[in-house]
Amino acid sequence: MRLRTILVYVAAIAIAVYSVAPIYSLVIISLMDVRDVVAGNIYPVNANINAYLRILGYDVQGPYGYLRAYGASEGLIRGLINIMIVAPIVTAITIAAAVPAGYALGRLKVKARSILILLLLASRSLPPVSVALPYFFLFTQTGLRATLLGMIIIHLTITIPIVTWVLMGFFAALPRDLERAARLDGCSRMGAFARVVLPMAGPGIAATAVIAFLFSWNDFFFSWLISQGTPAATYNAQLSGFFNFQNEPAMFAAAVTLQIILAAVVAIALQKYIVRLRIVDPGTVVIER
Amino acid sequence: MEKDSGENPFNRRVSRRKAVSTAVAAGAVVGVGIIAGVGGYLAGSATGGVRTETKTVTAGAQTVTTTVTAGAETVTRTVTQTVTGTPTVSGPPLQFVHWHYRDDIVTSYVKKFEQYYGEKVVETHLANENYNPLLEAKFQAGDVIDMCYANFFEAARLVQLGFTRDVESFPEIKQIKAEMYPSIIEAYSTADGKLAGLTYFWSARSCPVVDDSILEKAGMGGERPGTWDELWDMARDVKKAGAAEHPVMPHWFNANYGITWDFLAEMSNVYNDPDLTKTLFNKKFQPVFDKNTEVGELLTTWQQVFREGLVDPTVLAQAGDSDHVSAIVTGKFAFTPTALYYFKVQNDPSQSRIPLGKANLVPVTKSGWGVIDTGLYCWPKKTTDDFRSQRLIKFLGWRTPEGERLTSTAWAISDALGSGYTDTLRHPDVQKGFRDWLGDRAPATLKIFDDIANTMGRPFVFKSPLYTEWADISFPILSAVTAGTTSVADGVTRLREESDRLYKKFHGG
Amino acid sequence: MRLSDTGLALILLVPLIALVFSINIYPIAYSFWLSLNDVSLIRQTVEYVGLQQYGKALSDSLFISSLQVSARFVVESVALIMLASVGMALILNEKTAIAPALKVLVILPWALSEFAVAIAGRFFLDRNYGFLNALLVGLGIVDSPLYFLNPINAVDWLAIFYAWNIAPIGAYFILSALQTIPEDLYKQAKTDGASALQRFRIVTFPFIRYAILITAVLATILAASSIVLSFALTGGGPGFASTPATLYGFRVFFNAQDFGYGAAMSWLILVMVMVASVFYFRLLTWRR
Repeated sequence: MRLRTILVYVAAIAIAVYSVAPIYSLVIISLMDVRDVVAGNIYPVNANINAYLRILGYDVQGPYGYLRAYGASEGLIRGLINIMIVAPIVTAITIAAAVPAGYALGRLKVKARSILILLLLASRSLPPVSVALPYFFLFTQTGLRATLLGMIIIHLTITIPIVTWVLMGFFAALPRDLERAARLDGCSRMGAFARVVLPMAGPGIAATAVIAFLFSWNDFFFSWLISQGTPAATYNAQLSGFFNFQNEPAMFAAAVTLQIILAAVVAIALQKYIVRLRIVDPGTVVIER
Repeated sequence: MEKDSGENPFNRRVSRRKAVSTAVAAGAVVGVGIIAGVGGYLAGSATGGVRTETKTVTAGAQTVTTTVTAGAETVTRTVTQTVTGTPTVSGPPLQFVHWHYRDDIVTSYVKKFEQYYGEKVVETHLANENYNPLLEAKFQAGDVIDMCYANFFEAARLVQLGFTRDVESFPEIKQIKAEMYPSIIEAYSTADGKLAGLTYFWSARSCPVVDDSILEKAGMGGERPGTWDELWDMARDVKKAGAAEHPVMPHWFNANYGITWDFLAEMSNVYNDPDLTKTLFNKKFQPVFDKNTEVGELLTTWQQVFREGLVDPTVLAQAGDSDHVSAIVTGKFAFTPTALYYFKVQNDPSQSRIPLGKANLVPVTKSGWGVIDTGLYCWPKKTTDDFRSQRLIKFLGWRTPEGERLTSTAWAISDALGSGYTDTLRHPDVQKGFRDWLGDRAPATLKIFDDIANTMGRPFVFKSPLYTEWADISFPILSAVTAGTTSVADGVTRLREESDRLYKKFHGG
Repeated sequence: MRLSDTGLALILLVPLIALVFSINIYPIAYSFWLSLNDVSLIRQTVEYVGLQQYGKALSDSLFISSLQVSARFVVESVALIMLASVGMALILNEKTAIAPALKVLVILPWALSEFAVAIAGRFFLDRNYGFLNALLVGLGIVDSPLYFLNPINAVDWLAIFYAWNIAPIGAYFILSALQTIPEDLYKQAKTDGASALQRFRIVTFPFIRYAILITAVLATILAASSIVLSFALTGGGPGFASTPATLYGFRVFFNAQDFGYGAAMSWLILVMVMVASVFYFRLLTWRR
């Protein structure tokens, strides 16, 4: 027994280190000057938050010289604000659309169920590049390209299929007794759904919120291709500006760390709900007649 | 009146901006500026001598005195106070599309333009690594663009695709060309001799830089290679002496402006073929190489030195030049071919671990170095307004009406970027700027810059629209051959197939 | 009027269907149409060529090798994701003192975007100033820095980092299934004399089977459409060693502006992903 406990703790620590190690290296780089970064230090030397101040638009006096603010800091901040608007809206709409759909596909006998799921997942599996340029032109023609609405729409096509599919399993596994009781009491199906199922669906909705939020917050490819250079450019689109023509690994790391911190806050706050998803095989659960 | 005092021009601009902004209400415009601007144009076209013009205008509640002095050697700026008034030329804001580089400086010039003419400019940044296709996607989508950056080969391609126009129709074009280096005019002109845009900068990529501190450890301090073959030989000696595990960090990063540009540089340097018409694409843009020609030979050399461990193998997995520069400044290499504008970074103690004074350009002796790196301001066809867009291009790409060259001068000072205009290097600020970070190495370094400008590769194929696509196709092939995962024969055959296909696409069949 | 099953389903599904399909249908149809044509921007021509672009893709040696890179990347990623998520879920399910802290740490890698993972990976693996090499050299485990992103191993590292990013969500799915297992079943199995492995196979596995399959499908779909990780971490290098089909298709489509050809490649990739997904679904609906 003791041995087992020790093994479990060792495994736990190994998992902790494995989860954090790459993030640690990113963070320490964001806390150093370029000169110290390229020396390959494993802990921060001359630690400072200059990189963070610079990406937020401030000039600073570094340990080795005067450092100007990041030239595109305005764009970066605007990108952050943009994604802080887009991601919650995408999350809300995803929940509104995917929860009913997940219930329908998970509980109700719908003839085209498998085809529908397959189509949904297929639309999500098409390599992004082949739809990205058509979106580019479509959005230009409809005037959506430089708007947050356009980004919201695109993010929805990313989040809804996956979330619906996950919720399908979740709803299938919810106990039916309360719902049956409500129906026997004369509730319509719709009423039963609204009054009995939805309140029980709390964990599912919260888990959906995390998944949808992170997919939207972290989307790089579509945001980069379609929104860059426009006022609707999201944070990820602006991040790509660090890629070339400068020797600023610290600021790059700082910008990325900032994004991670904000996403992590959401993920950590809602992670306990993902555990309550209770994902079980809907096939073993009887589908409603 | 503010005199050139040799202080940091950036600070000067900041304080002027502050002075201006305190005198201005929101949306103020320079009515007087227009008059001074027109007067400045007329003044600027005079040759030689010092002319002073004084204008006094009363508008609103303020009296403004503007003094403009234009001359051959010295440029003197005056404080401009703006007054409220109505713009004489207005309309929707101008659209300026560009890549990321010193965005803060670019924005400061844009703001200067805005204040000068009472204009409004919207800046759009596009990601550097896919700038060309992104820009073309915008053009295809019908976006209105008033001015955009482009490398020369992209600028020429845009003209031929019909998205932009050459600038031969600018009224001052003769004057502009008279102030430029003839070699730059040639390098920035399309195949039928039309200037594809106004010059933003020129520089050279893949110019060898040595780290004398590493060479000293190998007992070779101060030695310089004359050719690329000599460079590889010196690298072997450095490695044998144990001074560096991988003596060379070549310009081989995995991007279309990485290993491909170095390929162009070495082809032109090693085989003394500056426009690459003998060894790569001839004057009709036909490919003239195969696995048995110089291309095969060079790639065999690359495979060889890679196998010997003379180069740091991680370079082939670097995704952009940010990685490359970060690697260069670690101070672990004896030879670091790089862009001239990164040479300054290597000498910057706040960013580089190379001991001060030890990073040195290799002089041009037996062979030229580098390949031209170009930047132009292009004039699209579909603009908000032709007159206003032309004015913006000239403001940044030529000079302000007072005769000040904004981009050229400041970029030369801050980043050692070359200017297309012959008077930039003679500008006292620029000379002082170079002395600031080079100390007494400045005259020798400036001479090397000049020599490189005269001997660097200037591929003729840049004038063909096929180059942009060729660059994107070629870099992974070159990288695969160098790493040894593809044979030289297979790689060059594939490269030749693609070159033929591209030639057919744009020039034949 | 009592709504039938289908009726209610329709009402509930309508918002979703309307939203997703109306947005998706035009670009998807357009991209399919592109794959049947030869589009030349320079000549402003569109020429119908039927399935020629598909044939061209299948005979393009670079595309085939990029498919091999994709396959290797997907297989390795999914394998690592499954191992890691099952392992992490089992440990998280144990009642240890550090379980709450561990739950927070485990979810952290998932908070990164693919781009952020690439950047973190780059700073972790770089040979000249990367953390891992600095650590190994500093601890004296190796004499000189290791060349991680070499032509043979570059894909492996991509898979490792991709798995690092995605495994947490799988871990949580499986954990949620683990927590539905009644304690008594374990006690029963132990009194019946079952070993740890037998307990896992008989008690645990049936409950987490669906969660594992969901994770596998999700992981496959995500890994197969991954493009940003290879783009930002290695640029597809050295050479083509870490260029998956998605990145190669992107370069053909976007940089070479060969829209028809690139679209055909994308649809070929989709077909392969769908085949894999259908395979998983068969597994899902197969009853013992």
